[in-house]
Amino acid sequence: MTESGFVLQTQKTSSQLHETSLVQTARVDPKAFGELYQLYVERVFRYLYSRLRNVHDAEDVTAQTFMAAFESLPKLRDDHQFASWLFTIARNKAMDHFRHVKYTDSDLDGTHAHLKYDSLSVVIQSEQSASLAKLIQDLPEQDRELLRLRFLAEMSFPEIGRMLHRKEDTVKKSIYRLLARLHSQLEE
Amino acid sequence: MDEWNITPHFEDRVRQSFGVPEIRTEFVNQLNSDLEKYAHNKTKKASAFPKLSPVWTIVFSLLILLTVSTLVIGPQRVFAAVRGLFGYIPGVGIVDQSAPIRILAEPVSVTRAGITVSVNQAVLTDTETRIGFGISGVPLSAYPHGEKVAGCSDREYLLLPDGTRINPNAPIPTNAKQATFVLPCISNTLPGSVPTNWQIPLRFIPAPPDLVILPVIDVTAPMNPIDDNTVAGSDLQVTETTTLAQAELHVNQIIETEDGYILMGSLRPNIPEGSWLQITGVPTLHDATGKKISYSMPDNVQPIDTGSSGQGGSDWALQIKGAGVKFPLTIGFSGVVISPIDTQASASTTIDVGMNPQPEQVWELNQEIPLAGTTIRLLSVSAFSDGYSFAIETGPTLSSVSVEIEGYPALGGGGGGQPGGGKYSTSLVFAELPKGRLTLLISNPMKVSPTESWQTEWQPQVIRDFPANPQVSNSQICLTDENLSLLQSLPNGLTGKMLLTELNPDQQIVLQNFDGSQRQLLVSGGARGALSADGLQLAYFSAEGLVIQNLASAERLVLAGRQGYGLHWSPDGNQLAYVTNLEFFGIAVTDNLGGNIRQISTLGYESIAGWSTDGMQLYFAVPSATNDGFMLKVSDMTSGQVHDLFLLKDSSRKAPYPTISADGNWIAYRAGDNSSLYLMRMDGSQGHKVIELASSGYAISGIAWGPDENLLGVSLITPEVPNGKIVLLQPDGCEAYVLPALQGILDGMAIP
Repeated sequence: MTESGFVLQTQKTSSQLHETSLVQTARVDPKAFGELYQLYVERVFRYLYSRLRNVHDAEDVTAQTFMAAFESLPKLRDDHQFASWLFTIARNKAMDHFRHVKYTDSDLDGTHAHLKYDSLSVVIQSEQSASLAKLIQDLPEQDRELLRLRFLAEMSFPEIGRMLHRKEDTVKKSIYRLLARLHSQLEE
Repeated sequence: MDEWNITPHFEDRVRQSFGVPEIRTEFVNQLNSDLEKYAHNKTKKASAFPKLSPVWTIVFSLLILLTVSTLVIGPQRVFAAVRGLFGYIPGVGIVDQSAPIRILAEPVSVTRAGITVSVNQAVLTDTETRIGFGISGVPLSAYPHGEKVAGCSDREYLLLPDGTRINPNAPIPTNAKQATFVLPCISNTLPGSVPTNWQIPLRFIPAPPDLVILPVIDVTAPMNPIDDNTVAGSDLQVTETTTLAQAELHVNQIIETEDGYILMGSLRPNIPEGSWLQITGVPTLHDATGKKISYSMPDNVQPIDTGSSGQGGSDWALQIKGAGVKFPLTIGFSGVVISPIDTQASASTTIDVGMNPQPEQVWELNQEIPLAGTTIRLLSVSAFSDGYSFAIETGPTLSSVSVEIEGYPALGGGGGGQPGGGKYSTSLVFAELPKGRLTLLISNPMKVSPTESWQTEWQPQVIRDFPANPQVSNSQICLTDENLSLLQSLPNGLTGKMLLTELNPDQQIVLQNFDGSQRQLLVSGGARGALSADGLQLAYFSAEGLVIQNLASAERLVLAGRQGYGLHWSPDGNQLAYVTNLEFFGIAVTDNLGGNIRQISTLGYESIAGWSTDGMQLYFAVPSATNDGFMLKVSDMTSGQVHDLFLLKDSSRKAPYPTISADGNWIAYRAGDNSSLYLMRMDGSQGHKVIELASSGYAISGIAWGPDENLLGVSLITPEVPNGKIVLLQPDGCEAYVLPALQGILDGMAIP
């Protein structure tokens, strides 16, 4: 293990302890939820934007996610699992959103699909980034979800494992294999 | 690469490649403030309240009032009080009406470089602002096309007279009688392509007394018999909920609209943590006679978020028309519950596929594998060109498992089986087919319940009378959900031909008599052809370009490099109009030899409606800035001038298929629901529906007139005939017939 890896690990553990303490405080004092919100709002937004590809929808679903989390916090069984629980809510809200959009906007003929103003395009800074974005875009959904959870939601491997009902080690291996594959495909 | 040699730089690149913009500080602060207010109220021991999105801030305050009021005056009076607070403005949404509402004094629009930005409506309450704006005339060339570059994403905002900049949904202080709506750029357009920094001055006035605000009524099962004297004019709604093991379905609020109701409710899972409720299919509504009731999902009513929609729960809103409905209504949802059996369980086995596995090669294994306290059976492994498929008997307790091949990350895969367990198959796709001795890792055992259904009943306390189709009371609708299945076949005597795009088994252009006889396959693999008025020339686009085919001589003229859609022949058959995004963006008109090409318009997404009878004018429609339909325009072929004619009100936002009758008297177009059809005179008068199909699964896919205004053909996508059912209408007498021998998208009609 490298030194930087060790430092990262220690910081994470420390931050998790702080987070658990915040969850416990928020249970008895709803005003303390604000700190959890500050810790997570950007991560939740990034995760949701990557799924919804639309700032307005991502903001709306982010708001729904935090309101639902705030309301349901007493139901959270394990204070150590706040991140997994919060992103499960976010993912479910996103799915609800898609379901609603599907019902209200079913495109039976596909004509004028180009008129939708919120493009699925991604902001690309360079040709190399474009290649990587294309590779990620072409990944199966479950692989894209792993990348979202790891790099946008900034979840740890155990947190992702709990959320996806997979073993930590399996998650870890899957993500590193995925990164290795992306890396090698980029270099081809 | 392992976890220790992935560089932070590469991780950053992965992160950046998602293209997530910075979160807006205004949003973060606003949400934080809303959460603080909510937390503050919660600490004052208010109950947990349902939430409404996106106007949930209003709801919080209203429901706080509701709870407090309940203690003081009891549920029936609360109902009356709630009626006074929530309001639904058709076309706008749910608003807080506890304080005076203001609206936009008049619609305002600004046009620059042929592009119009129009603020059409505004509703201002104490807690929020709703701005309705539209944009028209943006050329398709202004949007990114395959460059993998996003266009502008700066958000609109409001500028108050004192210079304060606020979110367009934020409340506007009551002392601010005006504001400026600022659109920094048109969403997703490329830099330099269209004008930016749009500023539109708005003026606000008190809402007039006749502004329609419909009450949002909380649905509460009455604790005591309803005393009509207690709540004057009460129409307290009644809902009954059937609680089953896995979920509860409730109607929580309703809105009485002019012609029916909007029902808002929730489906709440009642399942163990870690399990997931997956709704399957669409909601169903039946009335007391068992008749299926059609509904829509109103896009300006967000379902109430009851705060516990985790685990697959859902909040919903459905709108129905009341005419002909016998209450109570039964609302039904169906779904399955997916549950992990043991998240830690795993097993492995090996298989030797040799060094040269072949597609369709099968290894029969029939191997028992213990997993999660039960035994699954790996029946066989089959190879395909780039992966393997695994047939597994999961036994009675499991429905699915995950399979991986150790050391070979899959590019993708899929699986399926029976909900109640039994046989299950899953496949994995690889960049390169794994060979040799393979270790299969089996984990993630899941159980999927059999499909369950959840129902609830609802009925209004007071049954209202609904006139049939009040909005079109002066005109007759010829085709509805009720009579579509009862249509007679076309009687003998009326003969003609139809040009169709058949979709099944292959896409092809065919010409066929009304009775199905003399079927001519014109273009295999072709679609959306256009037939000249004399029925002798066919035009269509192929990979080669624009093809003009003489049906008598079978001669083909291929105009290479021409691509587009919406082909329309001029009445004399000498000119062709179409929409192109290749030669330029807009409508192109060319002669029937491909020469003399002219650009008529500049957008690239116009809908061509047809020619004038003398061929001197071309009609087309484009989305209007008022967002309530497409605007019909006319282009003079001689002068090249284009001007607006009239709005095709309530036309489809996707594709209205405007089609002018051959005699130039009427225009037919697809309605906003995509399944109804309007006729309108060419002076913009007498707009009325002739087809109204409200059930889900219906859509109009093609419209064609006969030689005059007396015969109209329509192709309809229906659940029974997804390829397109062909119907002939005589709008005057409202006669309708089905052509059972034909199927496809209707592209043209010729009467000998």
